[in-house]
Formats: sequence, structure tokens, C-alpha cells
Amino acid sequence: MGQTASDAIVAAEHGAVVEQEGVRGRSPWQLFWYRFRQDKLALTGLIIIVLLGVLAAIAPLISHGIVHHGPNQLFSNTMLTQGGIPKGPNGQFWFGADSAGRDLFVRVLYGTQTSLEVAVIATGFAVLIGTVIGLIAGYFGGAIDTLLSRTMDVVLSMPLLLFAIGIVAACSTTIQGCPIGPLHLTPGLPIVIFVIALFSWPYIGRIVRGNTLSLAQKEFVEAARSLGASNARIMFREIFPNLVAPILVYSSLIVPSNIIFEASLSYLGLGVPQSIPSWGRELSDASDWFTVAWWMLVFPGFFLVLTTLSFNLLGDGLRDALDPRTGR
Amino acid sequence: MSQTQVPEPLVTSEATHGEPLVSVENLTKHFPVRRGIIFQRQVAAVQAVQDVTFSIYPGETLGLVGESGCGKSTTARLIARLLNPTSGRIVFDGQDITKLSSRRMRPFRRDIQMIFQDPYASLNPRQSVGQIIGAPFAIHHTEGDTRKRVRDLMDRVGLNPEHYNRYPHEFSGGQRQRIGVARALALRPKLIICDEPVSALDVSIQAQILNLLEDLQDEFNLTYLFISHDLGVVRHISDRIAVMYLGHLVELATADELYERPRHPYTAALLSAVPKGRAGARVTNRIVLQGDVPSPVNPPSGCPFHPRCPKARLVGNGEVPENCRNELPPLGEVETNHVAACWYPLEPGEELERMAHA
Ligand SMILES: Nc1ncnc2c1ncn2[C@@H]1O[C@H](COP(=O)(O)OP(=O)(O)OP(=O)(O)O)[C@@H](O)[C@H]1O
Ligand SMILES: [Mg+2]
Repeated sequence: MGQTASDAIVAAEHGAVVEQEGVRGRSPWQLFWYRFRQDKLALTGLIIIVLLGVLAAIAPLISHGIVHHGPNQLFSNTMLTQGGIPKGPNGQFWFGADSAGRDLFVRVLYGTQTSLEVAVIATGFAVLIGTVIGLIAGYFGGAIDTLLSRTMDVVLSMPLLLFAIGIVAACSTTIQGCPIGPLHLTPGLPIVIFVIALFSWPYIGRIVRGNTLSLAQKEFVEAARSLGASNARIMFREIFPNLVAPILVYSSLIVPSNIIFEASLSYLGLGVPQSIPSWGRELSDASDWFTVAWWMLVFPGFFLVLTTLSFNLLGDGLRDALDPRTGR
Repeated sequence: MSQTQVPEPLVTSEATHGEPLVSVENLTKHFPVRRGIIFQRQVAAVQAVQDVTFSIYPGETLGLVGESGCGKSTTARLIARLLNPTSGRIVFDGQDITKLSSRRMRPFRRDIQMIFQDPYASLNPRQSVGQIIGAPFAIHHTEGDTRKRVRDLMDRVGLNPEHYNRYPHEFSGGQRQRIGVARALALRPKLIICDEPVSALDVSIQAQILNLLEDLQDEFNLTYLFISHDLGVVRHISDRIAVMYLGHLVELATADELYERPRHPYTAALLSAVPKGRAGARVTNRIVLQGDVPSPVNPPSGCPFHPRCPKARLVGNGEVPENCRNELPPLGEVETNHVAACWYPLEPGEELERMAHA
């Protein structure tokens, strides 16, 4: 080492060493997109999610403009038999009817809206809370970390369905719901979103904490500190940009479980109110009828599986593309 | 312990005049070793820096050398106030900065900058070069056209200002280190602490960065604390050199003096590993030290070097002398402008490799 380095010094002083360093490569996002594009499954997942999102967004257009059926419109005369058994798919009712004689296609279409809305909003809150708490825990460490990490452990170890049922049931007894601090949880969507966010932020919190813990040891953080950067600046300007990738991956992975969560609550009759179509509620409806009305189980079930599967494929693809070390 | 320290300034060179820019006095850093999951208790301490005293004068380069783990980086981070010392004092520009709060420390942060070893880890991969070099201006709310300043800095350190919006991974190691140099230079600091700034680079690139650092020193009248384990590099760039072993400062002299007449057996051993002729080491055969560096958690009693010291064994006819084993040798003047902490310092010209085989 000593010899070669000093040789080079001497050489450089005589102008013998020319800078041979070229600039190469692309921006991190270009690289990411390049890798992501190779992953056909993830790409398929993304396309399906986009299509579902578009479907959800234009659900009213389709239902009123094309099939001319509203989500809560009853067709008991045409779509239920004398004995009250729903009729199956036909040219007018593409997915058949549900037990009340409503158009199942329109119900499922609006159910897409509900599922995506609840899951995405709840995931958004979970990401917000999880990121802030995870950053604080990982960055400050010590007693703060112990407190916040144990809190996350406790939340994660709670039997969530049991607690969710308890909270939703307790808050749904009156129209006022539960005032929790500044939050005013009214029955219906707000409380469902609250419960889902409450139980899913620790997943993001843990990931963010772990990543922050290792990022805080990096020399670039020390460099920022030596420049006199404040803790807030270090957390949000230095560390946070490095957390975007893992946050993206894990949020795309908790969206499907949150969709299932909403469906489960609705299945149990605790989710969104009767008037709002939901896959979970359709499925619970189907449990009494599927022996004679297979479509009631198959169509909502298919959409539920398709959506969760697509999100999982997307999440896996994002992870592989953003972090080549775990990749193929 | 402090009475064993010699008053400053003791070791001077042509480059040392006036009041020191930085003085560290009896600087000590112990990292607690904790056990237990919830109720952590301290079971031991890593004695990373132990009672170190030295000064750095305006405009000079003080080299700091020693094997891995001897406390060089810790010393650097203590001076930059990235770590709080266990005891001792740090005086910068006449002011005691040892205990300043982070708010009161802020103005000093402009004057003390660091260049880090790893040109990959020291640049945020998610920030563009413009953001990275512009950060010092943003943090200190400097008035003026930041963009232009950043471009000027890039130009000055040999980067293409057109690459303002590029990300670190688009650059080679040497270019990244130039980004780190530009960031350190941004606020026109008085002191730049270079913690092994070239160790991670290709040999040919090392020389370019070293030349850049030397040019910048002349142009901006910078003072460097230059840490390295490469003695060739250190000799080239330093006016004076300090040698650390196991957290202790064991020898300090002007660069030529240290290389030509090392007085501490550890320094002589280090130099013997530098190939002859190149860095001017006069010891022909490599002195192979016995054993590994002891753990800083449980350092040897007496002189920290005594278990491995070839000279001590020679003096004691195979046995390590009593005082080496039990008493910490003070950092004492062995010659004008040359201090060493050894009970039996080498005589100038004393051949160590023969003793090692004696
Ligand atoms: N944050 C820390 N916590 C505990 N021990 C530490 C910490 N930082 C450093 N140490 C220990 O202090 C000692 C000195 O470390 P330091 O990094 O200063 O050595 P160094 O001379 O810079 O070595 P290198 O050449 O490998 O960079 C080592 O034993 C190291 O393990
Ligand atoms: Mg180091």
C-alpha cells in the first residue's frame, strides 16, 4: 500500500496520471423502472390494479349509463323466483342477482369502490403514523425506542379481529359513535378505516424503525450532523428519502390484507353500512345461498382474490426492483 | 495523570506558529459496554481514547496514524463534537467547545468540517450532488445564490458543474470523494478533519485527491487533521505526525524526524512495515510484532504496548521490565520537537530488527 500510493503520488506530481473516471449510470428511478419492467407478474398486477381503480372510479357511469341499474335498486319481480330464490346471470344481469334481487354486477362494481377506498385510505393513515413513529423510535433510540417498539409489539400481538369487533360494535351503538380525542368516529366508513389503520400502522412502523436504525449509523447522517443539521432535518431530509422504497413496498403489501380486513368486518356485519355495497357483505350474503346461487359466491370472491393477488404481485415486484439484493 | 503531560507547544515545525487552532487536553472517551435487555447495566468500557493531548496549528497538517481500532476516528469525532468526551477538554480558536450545547455549537460547525473515509456511505444516495453540496448553505441559511456557489465549488474540486443534478451512484469513487471535499469546503472552514479520505480509493485516484487537498490547503489556508493508516500517504501530506496505540498518543514529531528517527518501538515497528526507500523508513527488516492488538475493553497495565514490545524484552533480557508492566510512561521530550511515551525509547539510529531477533 505504502509503496504504491507514494509511487502514485510521485507519478501524479509529474502529470503521469490522468483522470480516468467517467460518469455512468442512470437515476435511481430509471434503474428501478428498468428492473420493474422485466417482472411480467408485477406488471400484470399493476395493470389489473389500475383497471380496477378505473372501474371503481367510473362505477356510476357504468351502472347508470350501460346497465341502467342502481346499486340498491330492487328487481324482486324479475330476478327472484316465486320462492324468493335469486336468478342467475343473463344478458341484462351479467352476474345474476343477489338475495334481495339487486344487480350483483353493479353491487360488485361498487364493492370495488368501497374496498379500494377503505383499504387505500386506511393504509395511508397507517403509513403516516407508522412512518412518523418508526422514524422517531429508530432515530432517537434508547427509552423512546423501547416505549414505541413495545407499543407496536402490543398492538401486533392483540387478537385483532376480536378487538376490531369490540371497537366497531361499541362505537356503532349510537349515531354519535365514539369521540376519541380530536377524532370523531361515526359508525360506518370512518370507524372501519380507523380500526384498520389502528391495527396496521405497526407493520409500517417496524419496517421504518429497522431501516432508520441502520440508516442513522450511515456516514452521510454523521456528515449532516457535523454540518450542524437539526434532528428534524436529518430525519426528514436525510433519512426519509431512503425510506420511500421500503414504505412503498410494504404499503402495497398491507393494502391486500386491509382489503381482506374490511371484507371480514363486513362479512361479520360490522363493516360498512348496509346501503354501501361491499364484497365482504356480498360474500356473507352468499353463505346462505351459494348451494342454489353459485354466482353470489363466485363473482365477489373472484374480485376479492384478484385484487389481493394483484397487490401482492405488485408488492413483490416493487421489492425486487427496489432492492436488487433480495431480487433474482 | 495530567501531570505526566508535557505543556504545549512542545513539538513545532516550520508550519507551527502562533496560537494553536485546536488543542485537545487529556481527551478521553470510554464507550460503555452494556448487558441486559430491559435493565441495561454497564459491564465494561471500551477505552477508545485515553488521555490524549495535542495541538493543531493554523495552516498545518497534523497526521494521525495507528493500527485499526486505536481510536483515530473517535478522536476525530470528539473534535468535531459528534461524540461527547468522557473527560478532557477541546479548545477551538481559543474557545472551550467541550460542553457546548448543539445550539451554541452551531457557529463552530461552520469552522470544523469532516471528510469521511467511505465515499459511498458518506453521500446520501437519494440526494443529488447539488443538494449534497448545497446542504451546508441550507443548514446555515447562507444568503446568496446557492446554485452558483455549488457550481463554483464543483468546478474548484474538479467536478463538471453540469452534473449538478446527478446522483452519487453515477460517479466513480474518486469523483464521489471530490463531492465530499466540496461539501466540506462549502462554508470555508478553518479546520478540515480528513478521516482516511483516500483509503477506499484506487491508488492512482488517491494521489489526485491528495493533490487536490494540498492545493485547497494553500488556496484557502486550511488546517488539516489527516488520519490514515497508510504511512506513505501521511508522510507525504503531513507537517507533523502523531502516533496512536490503543487509545494512547505514543509519539509526536515532525514528519521527517518521525520517519528518520522513530523513538517509540511501536512507531519503529509501524515504519518497518513501509517498504524501504519509499517513505524513507530506515529500518531495513520488518519488525514482526508478537500477538494481536489487545482489546481496548481490557487494556494491559502499565505501558499499553508492553506485551508486544520487542525493545522491552531486549532491555529485560527476555523479561518485560517492571516499570513497563506497571507504570504508564509519560509523553516526554526525547529530543527537541519530539515527544514519545516510552520508558526505554530507541536511540537515534538504533536497529530494531536485530533486537527483535535477539
Ligand atoms: N460507538 C461506539 N461504541 C462502542 N465502541 C466503539 C464505538 N466507536 C468506536 N468504538 C470502539 O473504539 C475503538 C476505537 O475505534 P476507532 O473507530 O476510533 O478506531 P480507528 O483508529 O478509527 O480504527 P480504523 O482504522 O479501523 O478506522 C474500537 O475498539 C472500536 O470498536
Ligand atoms: Mg477509523
